[in-house]
Amino acid sequence: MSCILQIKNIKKTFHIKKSFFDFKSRSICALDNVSLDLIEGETLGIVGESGCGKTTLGKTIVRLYRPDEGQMLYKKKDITFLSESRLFRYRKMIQFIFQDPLASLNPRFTVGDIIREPLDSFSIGSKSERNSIIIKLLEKVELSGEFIRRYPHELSNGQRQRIGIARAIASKPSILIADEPVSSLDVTVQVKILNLFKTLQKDLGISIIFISHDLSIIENFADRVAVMYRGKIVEIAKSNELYNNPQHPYTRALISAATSLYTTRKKEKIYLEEENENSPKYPNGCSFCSRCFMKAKDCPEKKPVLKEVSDGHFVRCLLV
Amino acid sequence: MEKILEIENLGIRFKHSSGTTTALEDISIGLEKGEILGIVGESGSGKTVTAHAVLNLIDTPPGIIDSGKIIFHGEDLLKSGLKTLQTVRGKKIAIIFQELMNSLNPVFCIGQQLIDVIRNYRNCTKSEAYKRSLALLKNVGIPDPVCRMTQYPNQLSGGLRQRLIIAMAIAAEPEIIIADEPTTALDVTIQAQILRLFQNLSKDPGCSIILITHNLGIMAKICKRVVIMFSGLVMEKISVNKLLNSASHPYTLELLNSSRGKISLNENKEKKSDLLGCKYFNRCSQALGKCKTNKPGLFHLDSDHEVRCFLFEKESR
Repeated sequence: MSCILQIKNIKKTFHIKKSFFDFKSRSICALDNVSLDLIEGETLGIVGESGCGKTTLGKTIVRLYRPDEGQMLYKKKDITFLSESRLFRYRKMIQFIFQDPLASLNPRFTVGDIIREPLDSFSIGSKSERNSIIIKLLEKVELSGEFIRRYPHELSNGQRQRIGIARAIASKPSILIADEPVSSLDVTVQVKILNLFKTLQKDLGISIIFISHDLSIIENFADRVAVMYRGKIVEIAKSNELYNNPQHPYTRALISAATSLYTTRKKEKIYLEEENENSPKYPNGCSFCSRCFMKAKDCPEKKPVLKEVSDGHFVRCLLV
Repeated sequence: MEKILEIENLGIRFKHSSGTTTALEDISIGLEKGEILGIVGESGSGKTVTAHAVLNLIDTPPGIIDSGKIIFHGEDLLKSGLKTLQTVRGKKIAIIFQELMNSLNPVFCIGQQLIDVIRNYRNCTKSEAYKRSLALLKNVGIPDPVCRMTQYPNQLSGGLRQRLIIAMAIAAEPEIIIADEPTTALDVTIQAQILRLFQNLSKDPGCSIILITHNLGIMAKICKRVVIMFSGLVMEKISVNKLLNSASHPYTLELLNSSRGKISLNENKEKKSDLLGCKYFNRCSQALGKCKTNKPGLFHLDSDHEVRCFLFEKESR
């Protein structure tokens, strides 16, 4: 299987001022040496709490953010620091689906206009063909052609998300990045949208990076799962392996906190303390060690690296 | 167990430019002391309207309350005047609203808002109220409360904001807390903390909690009984330990299948307005002939199990 996207040691730091008159700016490392491979046709899930850098990673891959360091290879071509005009061709191949379906659709455009936009800008099909392409795209996301004249506010949330997906697949991308695409939907609708993703993946052979904080969704949907904490990947493994044999304490805490009706797994009960400004910081050590329930003597002083514990299962923890 | 709150045959419609929409139809729910009751359903099924109606927060117009009683300590809240309502709202029945950001005032610091709430409920000096609010913040697990008191809502994370609102809700030590999707926007680890807080509240001061959510996993974790709503009707009432094995209504089964990741085959046909019979008819895979024209009633299957579906008419007692 070939790698479609390789990310090597990407770093992204944001500089934040506490107030307008603050002359010293604080820096937050949103992505800290993240490396990932995306295999063609697979679904890679990314989980983590809010603020851990999931969305930043997604946006950096689409190059909405410019990484500070590192390298990104798309089909072995370096796209890390491409200029805007060169990025244009790359962006056709990689599309983004946003979390809030209403906020990501222009309220003054009809559904037809919304889906026509990528067709126009990437000049796909002739002008006369575009209408029929739009109807075909709508059928692909299981909506009828009559939606073409409707406005976003007339649709239900599930239908809006389908429009978002139709717009994303309009340019026939090879990678889709879905940033929490179902978190604002009802459970019955969630399943339908997830199934739509699966059929699209089968039909079009798209690779999907699926960002979510809901572990139970990821479990059923992703082939491989990466767990992020504080801008770092702390564990990455095949979905089965990760859920049945989690190694990193943070992953174990996440899985124990997930609410799911159907689990045959033995449940651990782990409660994580929340971090605040006063909790001790260990700049030289593991970033999780102030909350870790298995903290060892070395943890505050030594930075753990990603170690392979079994085939394709990497963990960033000193205890493993 | 004694019933602390009883909703009886509640029916609410909303007026709009092209007629009226029925939001609730014949809702009857009882709440026992110290229990956590879950209400599940998809968006638009009337969960939030029920919650607002309990505190008589429905604006009339556009709302029209057709029928029903909400009995709390022997008094019908729907008929009582503003003065009585003000002694109930917040003090005896507290509500945690869904929109986090809208329930806090952005231009006042947190301490000020908490102190205002506390001084509204009881006669005390500012410094007493300050001490009480510090204790409250500690109670809900907000670290470093002295520093937090001087901050503004926008400086807090979602989890902290949620806990702050819970702190405000429990400030007056209410008998009932209505929590409308309290954990929807939160991370799983913080969600677990908040659910644990609810569990403690129901045990320690014996607070009754109505938890509204669309996540069945949360239900199973902390609730004792579940009410499943669909398009303004109670479709099934069931205790949680029976939910997995003997849930019977087709809609409940669809919900359970969805959280298992399975899809139900029959597609959602639209137009539910002109249905004479069962509201779920268009999506139901096991619909009978009479479902189209007749409205099913609630059938008692067991002491803690009621279903609104003709399939179980014969089994009912």
